[in-house]
Amino acid sequence: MMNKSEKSHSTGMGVGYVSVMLIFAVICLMIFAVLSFKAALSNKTLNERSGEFLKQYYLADTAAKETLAKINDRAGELKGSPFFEEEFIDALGEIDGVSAESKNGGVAVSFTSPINERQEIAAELLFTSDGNYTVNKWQSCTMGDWDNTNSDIHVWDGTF
Amino acid sequence: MSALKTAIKKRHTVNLFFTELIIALLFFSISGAVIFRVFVSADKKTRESMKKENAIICAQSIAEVYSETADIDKTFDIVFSDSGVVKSDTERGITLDKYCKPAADGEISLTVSELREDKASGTLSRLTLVFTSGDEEIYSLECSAYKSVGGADDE
Repeated sequence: MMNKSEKSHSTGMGVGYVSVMLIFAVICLMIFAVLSFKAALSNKTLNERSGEFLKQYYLADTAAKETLAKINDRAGELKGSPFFEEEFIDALGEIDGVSAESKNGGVAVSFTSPINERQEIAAELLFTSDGNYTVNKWQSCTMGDWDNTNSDIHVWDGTF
Repeated sequence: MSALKTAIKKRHTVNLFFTELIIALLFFSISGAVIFRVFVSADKKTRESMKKENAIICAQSIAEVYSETADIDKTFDIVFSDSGVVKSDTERGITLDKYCKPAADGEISLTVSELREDKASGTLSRLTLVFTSGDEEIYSLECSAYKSVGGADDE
């Protein structure tokens, strides 16, 4: 038989424990939702950056091909000439950013086309006196040398 | 008198129980709505970035093949096996699914237009690729190819 003090402390059906567990579940779900949103956003940003780089690369590639077309036009005009190498090198002096020298029985021509502030397409071709050319190099590379003065990564330079 | 006090306390306890229940249900329903909205946004962003990623890969494939062939029809034949291509004088179109594979009922449209410039010793061709889903542009790319009259050798 319950006494009066026990009756007065009766609180009916308790929901405290269930509420705490459900609050914990809601917090966990909220954290998972935020993390999945963050991952999706990071993936989207990465895709946008890679898409932007691809556009820049092919714009630089198109500019390099326009330069190649100009050089090939000059070679076509002078092909078969007995002084092909000298005349061709002189003619290429009129095109900006193109360097040429006599090499290996032909004229080695090199030029670059910038992709962005850090990378460029470097091209090297060998033209022969019949007006044909061989592509020896057509690749993207970094501009300038790597500067590690502000880097915390100490790369071994090969010396002991 | 004591019976009356007991009855009042009991009713007070029941009211407290229902109040806590209503507040808890309100809290969980609002939280559930917010969480559901966040998950739906994350799923939408994931689908959009997957479409864009596949479009980028497809565009790069087309650009690389075109730089070698300099022929739009040959490029489509190699990349898409010439299935479902709609042709006009200067444009080609094809419908793709979300993985950028040819599909008649796909949700992505690819439109390709070509511009040729005849030079003295060769032809410089420019290709413009545009991927769209409905009225929205997913990705676009411009690439080119150069074919010399005398031919060239790549080492």
